[in-house]
This record gives sequence, C-alpha cells and structure tokens, in this order.
Amino acid sequence: MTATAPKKKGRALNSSYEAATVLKDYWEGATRHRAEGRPVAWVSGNVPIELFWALGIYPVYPENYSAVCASIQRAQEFCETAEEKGYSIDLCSYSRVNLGIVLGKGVDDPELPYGGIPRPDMLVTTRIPCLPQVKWWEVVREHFDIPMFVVDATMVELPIRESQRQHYLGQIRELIPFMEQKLGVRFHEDTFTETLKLSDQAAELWLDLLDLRTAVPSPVGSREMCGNVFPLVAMLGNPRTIEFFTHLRDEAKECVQEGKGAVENEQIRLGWDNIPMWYNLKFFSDVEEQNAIFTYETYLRYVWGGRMDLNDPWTAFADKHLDVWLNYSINQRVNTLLRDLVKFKLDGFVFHQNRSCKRFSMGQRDLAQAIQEKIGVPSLFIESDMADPRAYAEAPTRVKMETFLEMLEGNKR
Amino acid sequence: MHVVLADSYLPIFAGKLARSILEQALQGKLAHLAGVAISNSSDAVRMLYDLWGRHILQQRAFLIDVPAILEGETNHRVFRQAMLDFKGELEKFTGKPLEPAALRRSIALFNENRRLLKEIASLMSVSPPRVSPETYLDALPSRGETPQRAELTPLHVSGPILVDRSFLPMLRECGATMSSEDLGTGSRYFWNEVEEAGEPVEAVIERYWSKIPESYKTPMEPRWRHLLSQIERSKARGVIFVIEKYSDEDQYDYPVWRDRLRSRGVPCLLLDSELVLESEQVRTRVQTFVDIVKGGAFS
Ligand code: SF4
Repeated sequence: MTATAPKKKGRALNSSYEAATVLKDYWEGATRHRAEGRPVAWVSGNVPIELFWALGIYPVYPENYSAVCASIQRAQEFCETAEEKGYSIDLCSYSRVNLGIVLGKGVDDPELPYGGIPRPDMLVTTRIPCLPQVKWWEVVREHFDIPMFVVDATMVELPIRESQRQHYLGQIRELIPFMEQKLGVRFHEDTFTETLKLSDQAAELWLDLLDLRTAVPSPVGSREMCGNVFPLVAMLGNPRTIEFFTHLRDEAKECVQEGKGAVENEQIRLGWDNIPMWYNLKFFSDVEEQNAIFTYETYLRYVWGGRMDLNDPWTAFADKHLDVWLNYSINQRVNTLLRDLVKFKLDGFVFHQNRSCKRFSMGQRDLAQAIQEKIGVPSLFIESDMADPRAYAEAPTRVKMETFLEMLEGNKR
Repeated sequence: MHVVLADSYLPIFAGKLARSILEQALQGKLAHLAGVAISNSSDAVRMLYDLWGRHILQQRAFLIDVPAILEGETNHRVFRQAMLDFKGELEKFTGKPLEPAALRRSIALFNENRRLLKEIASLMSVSPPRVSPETYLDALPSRGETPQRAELTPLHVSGPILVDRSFLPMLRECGATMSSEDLGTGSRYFWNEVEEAGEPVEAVIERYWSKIPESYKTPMEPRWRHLLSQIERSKARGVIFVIEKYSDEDQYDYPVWRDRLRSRGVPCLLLDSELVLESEQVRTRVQTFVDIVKGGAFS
C-alpha cells in the first residue's frame, strides 16, 4: 500500500489501517500458541523481548491488553473490580485493569476482547520502567503460582556505565537457563542473532518513520502513531513487524517528498510527553481542526525499540534495553528533550501528568522549565490517566488546550 | 508539613513523604546537614535524588544505588559493589578512610541496640504489656510510662512508617493496643543483626542484603514470614495496616497480606495515611474494627 492509493477518510497514512490486523493476529497467535501446548509467558514493558521470540516462548503483554481495553472503553469496569478486591485507585491503571480481569471473572472469560488472555506458564518482568510493575507481577504470581523472573536495573545517564551493562547481562545469563529449565526450551545463539537482526531492522524503520515527522508539514500525527507502535513493543523479532513498518515508512516518505501533511494547513507543531490517554486518542486529532499537529512523543521515541550495533550483539542488546526514557535520570530526560525539540521544530509541548505512571510523570516540571528557559518552548500540563477515564475531565482539559493553542498562535504572529 | 515549594517539582502522587522531605530541603530546614544519603526505596525517592542534585545545590546528595531484587548471584554482586561504592564516596567526602576497628565498635553498639529493642518489643507483647507502644517506638526508658491494661485487645500494626503517634492513644481509647508491628521504621529496621565475626564491611553488606526486606524489594516472602512471626509472638488478634497514600509498593502488598491473614482467621483493617492519621473517620473505623475483633464477629 502506498500514498498514491486513494486515502480512506480519517488516517493520514493508509498503511495505518493494518495496525488493527497486526494487533488481532498477535493476540490470536497467542491463543493458538497456548492451544497447541507451546509455552506462553506474561511479560511487561522493556523485558528482553527478542529472547522470547528466539526461544519460541510467546510473550503476552497484559499492559497492551489493558490499553486495548481502555481504547474500547472497557477499562473502567475492570479497574473497579480491582478496587473492590482492595487495590487502591492510586495504583497504575494498567495493573488495575489486569488485576480486575485476573481476580474477577478470570482471564478465560469469553466476553473479554480477543476471547481472553492466554494463561501464562511463566512471568517475566523488570524494574527498568518502574518498581510498581514488579509489585503487580508479584500479585499475579500469587494468583497463578508459577515461576517468575525479575530483571533488575538502576536508572541511567548516558553513556551507560559498564557496571550497569554487566549487571543487566549477568541477569540475562541467569534468565536463559531459567527459561530453558522451567519451560523445556533450548537457546541457540544463531536463532537469537537472527531475531536481533529483525528487531534492529524494525527499530531502524520505526526511527526513520519518526524522523520523517521532523518535516514541515508533518506526514502523520500522534493519534495514528500511537495506534501503530504496538509491534515495536511486543513483536520485535517477528517478520510481520518489518512488513508493517516498511509500509508505514515508505508511505510517510512519499508524503514528505510530495509535501503532503496530515493537516492541510499546518500552523502549530506540538510534542507530547507520557503515555497517551488510550480511551481518548481523539484528544490528539482534535487539535488538527485548529491547524495544529502533535508530531513528537517521548513515549514513541524512547520507550520502545532502539537500534543495536550487531557487531557486538550482547553489549548492544543490554544498552538497548537500558536506554529507555523511563529509566533515564531527570538530567538525561532534560538533555534528550532539548535536543529533540529543536530537531522537530516544535512550537509547544504538552505534558500529560499521568497519575498512574508516576515514574513517567515525576520530573516533568523540570523538563518544562528547561525547555522554556533554554529554547523558549512553552508547555501545558494536563492531569489525567492513561487507561482510567475517571481521571480525565473533558471540559476543563479542552478549554486549557484551546487556550494554549491560541497563545501559541499569538506567539507565531 | 504543608507542602508549598516542592509542588513545583513533585506532583501530589509522588506521596507526602518524598514531597515533605523536598519541602524541608527547599525551605533550608536541612541546611545544617553535611549531605543526604538517598536510596532506591521507591521511584519517588529515587527521583528525589535527581531533584536534590538539580535544586539543592549547596548540599551533597549520595545515591545508594542498590538492586531491589534480592535474588541471584548477579544482583548479589551488584548489591555488594553498590554498598562499597557508597562507602568509598563517604570516605572521599569526609577525607577519612573507614577504620575496621571503628566499624566493629559501631556494629557491636548497633547490635546491642537491636537486641535491646527486641527485648522492649517482647515487653510490649506480654499481657498486660510492660511498656507502651510509644515507649517502644521511641526506644526510651520507661519514664512517663502510660499505664497498660490487660483488657486491651492486642493488635499488630503493619506498614512502612508510623509518623502520627496520636494513633496509639487513640487505639487505646478504642480498647486496643499495639502489641507488635512490622513497620519499616520499626522491627524490620532492627530485627536482623550484623555478624560480628569476620570482616566488618562484608558483614554489614551481608546484613543489608539478607535483612527483612522493605516492600520495594522482591521477593516478598521473607517480609510475610516476619509479619506472621510477629503476630504469633504477640498473640495479636487482628492487624491494622497503616499505609501511606501513593506508596504503591505497600498498596500492592496489602490485599495479598489481607487475604492470606483472613484465610488464617486474622481480621484486618486498612488505614490510608498521609503522615497523619487523625480524623473522626479514622477513629470510627478503628473503633468498629476493635469491636468486631473483640466480639469475634469477623468473618
Ligand atoms: S506505572 Fe507506568 S511504567 Fe509502571 S507498569 Fe504502569 S504504565 Fe508501566
């Protein structure tokens, strides 16, 4: 599919329509894998994903499932079940959705999206994005009573220190035999290297695509890109990801070459920090009616993916997993943002103060201060939650956003 | 403490503890300190270290950057190295190497304190209690001792920290007393001693690796075993969880502990705290809980 094909209404890139199929195939693939008696692991953001595909263990992402539930307006009911079971409303809403399912009607409930979440044989998680993730997994382990492995890491400032790299790799060397022993799989270095190549190829395509969004006008906005990111989270090492990202990248490239933007008369360019409000991705596209576009997101650039120098695969593998936004110190976040904002020619920045993802949200005031002082980019804070719609106040947020856009327009005149 | 200045750097959901500490620093109330040592004990506290470096410029902050996962040979090695790094930083900062003999003396003194605190803990658990929870928590001689009555229902208090001491007389007014606890700043802090034979630095590191872990550390089982042993030791008839709002680590543990305790017939009550616990609502909930525990009406 290319940009020359007639565009369907609503998407800037026709290839974005493939995202729903990729997602559906992923979840159906997980169910099939389970039904065929092959091993399934529940994993979380920033686990060493390529290992799973290389070992034939299907990596199931409850976080993604929670985001899916949010996007179809079903998160609240599961959050409420978790709260009835004693899990505080202040906890990460991804975990509340998941625990509401696990401790409520169960993961096999046929009423669930994609017919349910395949049961895990193993749990693997990491402290890289946050500590609560590990705690959430402990609750899941309590329920399923299955083996669990946690990969630890301390926060980084780039370049990554050798001691941090060795800490990571030491644990990977413990994780591989753990998986082999518990799940009866075998690790082959060749298969792993092939998987890394696929992963790196996908990352390259994705980063190319993001870089194309530095163009004025931008070929694609945040709403669409948030819908496209999923394979970068869960399917690194899967050839389907390469196919999908190639379509996206090529189509965006054509748009840029032809000077076609997602917004006809692009006037204001915006950036976004934090996880999107999955139940309200419309928030991103609404601004397009006012000739503005969200064309940069820390979440899409620094949370998933990442290139690897495959001449030194293990070092690259470690660095890729440690070098993520949520694992950055505040200083590192500031430096990264300052660099990117100039590159993407942003006029304004929106910080989502996400009450669920505290690790993402802490330090945002420092970021806002830095971009205002150093490069004169003003910012807006909106308070909400990525999956629990009860934390979102439509009217005041809309007014805030409109006022912000008016101010940015004024600045440009 | 009312948080004003720290609002500019930490959102409400970073929790009152981290926000109050930053507030004190920003107000200059900690200026008398030569430095601060910050651990990885929650994401908010870890961020506090970054904020210190950016905004409290006149004061040195040290990060004790240990793993939170207390399993595996790699984590053990990294834990040890992080502790050695911290020691090295302190030595550089003070300009004095750590003398093994001085460390041995300090270990012996701390161990003695730990043993005494354990003794006081057991005096609080007998019926009638021989020391009050206030005395125990302050680890003071029993001067000004609050009289303890045998008819008070013994309860266990669990959580990371109990800042608001007005909770203890309130508990008594409701007909109960704290007979044991597994607070992060209580028994979990002093329960494990440092091995006095052998190389002292290694012994200290080993003690922190294997001590009863805080809620941010995995695995959770040693913490559970400690909680259970304290309840058994003190014959507590129920457990009150005092958990700081936005303390995610403890908030995840609570329903798991509660369900395990309930399956053993031990009733539980959760109180959300923001460093303070005083309110009519809290009193009513505690009173109701104590009445239920006394009446055995719990199911
Ligand atoms: S708190 Fe943030 S990083 Fe942690 S599990 Fe939830 S969404 Fe992921």
